[in-house]
Amino acid sequence: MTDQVSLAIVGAGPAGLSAAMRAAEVGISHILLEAADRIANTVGNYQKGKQVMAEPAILPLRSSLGFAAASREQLLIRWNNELASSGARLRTGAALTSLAGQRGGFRLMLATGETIAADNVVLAFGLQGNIRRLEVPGAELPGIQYQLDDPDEYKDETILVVGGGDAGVENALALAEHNRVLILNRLDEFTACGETNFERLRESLASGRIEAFSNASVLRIEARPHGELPLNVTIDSPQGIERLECHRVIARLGALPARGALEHFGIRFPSAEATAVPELSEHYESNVPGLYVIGSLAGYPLIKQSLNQGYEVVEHLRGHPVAPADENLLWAKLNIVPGITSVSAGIKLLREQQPLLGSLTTLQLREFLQESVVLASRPGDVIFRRNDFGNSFFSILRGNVAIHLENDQGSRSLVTLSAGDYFGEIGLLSGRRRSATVVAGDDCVLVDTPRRAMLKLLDSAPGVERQLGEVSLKRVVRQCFGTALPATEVEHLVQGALVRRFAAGETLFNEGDEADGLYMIRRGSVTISRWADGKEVVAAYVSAGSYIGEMALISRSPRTATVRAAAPTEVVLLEAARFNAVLDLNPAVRGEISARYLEGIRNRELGFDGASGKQGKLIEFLMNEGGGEATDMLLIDYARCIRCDNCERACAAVHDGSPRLDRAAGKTFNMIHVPVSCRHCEHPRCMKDCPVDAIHRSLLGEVYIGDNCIGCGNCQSNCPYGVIQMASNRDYRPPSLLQIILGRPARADAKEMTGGERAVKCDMCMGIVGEAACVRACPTGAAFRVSPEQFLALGVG
Amino acid sequence: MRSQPLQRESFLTYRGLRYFKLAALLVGASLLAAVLLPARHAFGYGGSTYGFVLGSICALMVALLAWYGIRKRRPPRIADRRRDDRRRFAIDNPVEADHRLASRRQPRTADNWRHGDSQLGWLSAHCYLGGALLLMALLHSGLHFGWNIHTLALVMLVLVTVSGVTGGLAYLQYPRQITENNSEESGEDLLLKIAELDEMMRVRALDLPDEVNQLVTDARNDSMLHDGLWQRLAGSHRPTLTDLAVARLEAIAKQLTDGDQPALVRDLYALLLRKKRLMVRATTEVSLHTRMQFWIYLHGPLSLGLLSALAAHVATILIYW
Repeated sequence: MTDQVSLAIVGAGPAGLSAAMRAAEVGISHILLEAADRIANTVGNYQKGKQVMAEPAILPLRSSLGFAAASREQLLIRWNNELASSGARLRTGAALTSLAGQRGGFRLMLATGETIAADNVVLAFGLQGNIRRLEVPGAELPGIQYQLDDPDEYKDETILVVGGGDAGVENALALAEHNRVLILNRLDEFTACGETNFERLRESLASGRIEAFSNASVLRIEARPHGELPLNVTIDSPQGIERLECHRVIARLGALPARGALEHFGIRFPSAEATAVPELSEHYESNVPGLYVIGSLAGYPLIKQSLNQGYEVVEHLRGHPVAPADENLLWAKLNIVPGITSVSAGIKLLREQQPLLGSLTTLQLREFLQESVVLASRPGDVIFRRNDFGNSFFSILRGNVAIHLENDQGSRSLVTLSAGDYFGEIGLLSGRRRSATVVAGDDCVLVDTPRRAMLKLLDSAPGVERQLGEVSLKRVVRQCFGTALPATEVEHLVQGALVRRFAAGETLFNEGDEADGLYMIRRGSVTISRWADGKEVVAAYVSAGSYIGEMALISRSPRTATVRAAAPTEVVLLEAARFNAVLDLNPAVRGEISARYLEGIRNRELGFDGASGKQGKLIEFLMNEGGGEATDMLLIDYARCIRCDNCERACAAVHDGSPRLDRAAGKTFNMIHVPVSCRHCEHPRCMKDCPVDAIHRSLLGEVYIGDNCIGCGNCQSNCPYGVIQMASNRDYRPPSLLQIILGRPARADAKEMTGGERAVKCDMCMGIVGEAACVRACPTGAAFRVSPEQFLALGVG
Repeated sequence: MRSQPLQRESFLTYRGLRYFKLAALLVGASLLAAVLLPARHAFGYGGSTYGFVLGSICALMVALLAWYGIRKRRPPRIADRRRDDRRRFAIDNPVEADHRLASRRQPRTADNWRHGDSQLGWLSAHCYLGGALLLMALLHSGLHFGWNIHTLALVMLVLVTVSGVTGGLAYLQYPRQITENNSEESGEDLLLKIAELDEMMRVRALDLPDEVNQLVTDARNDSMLHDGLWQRLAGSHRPTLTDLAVARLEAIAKQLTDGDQPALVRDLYALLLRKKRLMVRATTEVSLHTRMQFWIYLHGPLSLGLLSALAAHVATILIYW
């Protein structure tokens, strides 16, 4: 039996549903094919109660299917209801086995043996449809599952989780609350999961709540005829063949990439990168005429984007080409550019003028612009100043800008960048203050892209990342050695450069090692320590934007100190041979570095106070407390603190009644107390997993949480220093005069308001002119805030 | 840049002794006036022009110094918060918010009158002006004393000043001692550790004679608030039940020879000694806190007394002028 339709839609996820409902609405004969037995299978597989976000908030929704942020359950009910009343033709349990033909003559074969003829085909089956299953004897036994709906369903069981990716680790963590959990990982370490999950897992492993088998694989599963535990799993691990008894196996092995299937249908991919998405036109049409790809399959993981695309593709097919949903949004950004009359002209300008972005598809460029700001600056406008905080990225579309460079020694230089160049990447990568002042020149048009959008772009377009990496290496070399070095030499140095990453506490090199090269710190910070009286003593702290290891290179002797990362650190390693060759040719640079060498010796001899010295220990203590990644840290001089907690009360008073610091908690060393309060890290970990992007860093450096916080608690669990609290809004009233005289407490015990809890943290009293309230409220001057520059002054820089 | 950032100015050295200079200026000017003015204007009760002017200044200073007590306890008011619209605006577009506000950002400079004052400055002024006030009040009195309301006001002032100086000295001295006593843990950690030791001792005592169990139970009920106010202020400790238990256990240990009892007793003895050491630290902590804060319970009420006496003093003058 052959079904003849005008449009076949494969996959009843958000994108497919949206397309089918629009088709039903406008009367296009269609069929929606779904391999599973229900719609929105991926959403259905989310953990129970998961809150589904309607991001990005700025993008308008245009779809026949309704959507707003809701819980998984609410959303599924809504979609099922809307689908039932729409007249869209859905066929579940209809897996596609082959697809051939092109516009006007597609033939789709289903696993049921049916054939469907369609004029056009929309592929919207997402990435999760093809779940990888265990392929071992016994994989069909009951008790083996590939998803976890509600972790609270299982109690007091022994559960084996197979897979060390995010899904597996998340499941293991959730199950460990009430069960004995074993996790089996194919890899040596849990590198496949995100940082947050990794850290939580590490904690659980350390505390023995979860047992892990690394480098292991499942060989077979057998049912146990008797005994409490029904399954017997044989695994191959470095310890040999082991037998595990368990109630249940949850395998989270990821999904099979859809690329093979798409290529089989004749769809081309632009590159061999594993993450590449199919080549698509502006209307989501692939190189096969009449074959469209939308949703996460096309590289758009967000539900709202998928819904919009489903609608747009149907409109396009019925000959009503609609402007993309973001057209107005982009036009509002682009219309300030003189001579640009349409969004597509603006996109064209972006593509032509910015070689870095040249490899992006039109759709990727539009997304890039959505999150960016276009600036048409007047000559002389300051874009940003040296020492501003800010880690957005600027691309120059027209005109030019002047970069006023200045290094710590005070030497200044001026560099002009023009259309096609970009700047701000040092701040983007290091998270530190801007290293130069940038002033707009004539006829200057810039695109300012926030860090988050830029990182997303770098993730999805490896080509851009590579190109940006090369240029930024050169700039780091320039930053370290000034502009005295000719471009050819810089090129020469950079060619042999290696980028290396170190976790906090890892050693870059040891005292006595042979010198392998010069380390330029691009991100993070390090401590330098030496052996004195049989102990290793920290002598100094060096932060991003500086270099280390030049002493051993110049003297051609072994390393004289041990260097460790104080925070997650990224360095650029310049080979010793190249470096020395360049120095031989450039006496000026050699002179500068020699001068620094002497300064280093002077500081070592005059400043270093040996093993008994408290200074080194103090630096070490501050580093352990997060000083290595702090930009502004509250410290309390405990030789002066009278424990009055005025700091906490003042903090509460300016923050709606809930204090953001805990004075008494935290550690003390050598009369310096580090209270539990935000360090305003260079790369704030709290920002990483915020689903609504509520955490920002302002130009002055404050890391703050916006009013759109939904209280999910991700930031709280991501912060290694425990400085983020969940608090309700309080109806805060300062104490009256009478209360003060009578000694009534002015504590923040005001009644809680309704509206649920939200994350709160120190915002450095943003918006209040002058010093922060905690510091100002200290009657003895014990509370003070320090920045890394002040740490530097503690030791030999 | 190579300053010593962890060395901060104290309330005594605030802003290069700014308020010491002001205080010295006030006292100096008062003395100078006393010397230079013709005899009939100068010296001799508050009744002279000099005395009246000086007295008025003193009264204003008392009011200012008393206001410090309020101000210190009053948290910054919401009205002082000059929030900008960045937070709200930033939700939609943080980048644009930053550009919009780039032009009117304020440097985060140290406090000054325009950018809001600090408690440190107020305390510095309070101390130095308080000292100056006592001297000026003495000049104002013309060193005439009697059994009257006027002298009462002066006596109150002396008491308030003395208690205040005590407080200043306490603030300079005790925070460091408290920190040293704590080493790296807070009072709360200390209590937790003591509780832990109590539990360990209880378990070990189970296999030992009742006498030992009783000792351990007594030591467990030992409270560190054992000392009275006087002991706390003096920094001396009464012997605690833990101390007694230590002494008794030494005696008992010699008599126990059965099985693993000697080993258990030795173990228990070590734990008791550890608890004793922690108890000393805990009592020292309480004692130091008491000594750091006790003066304020005199200074505050005495200040209220001074204000009342001063009000009576001023009222009588205005009535019987």
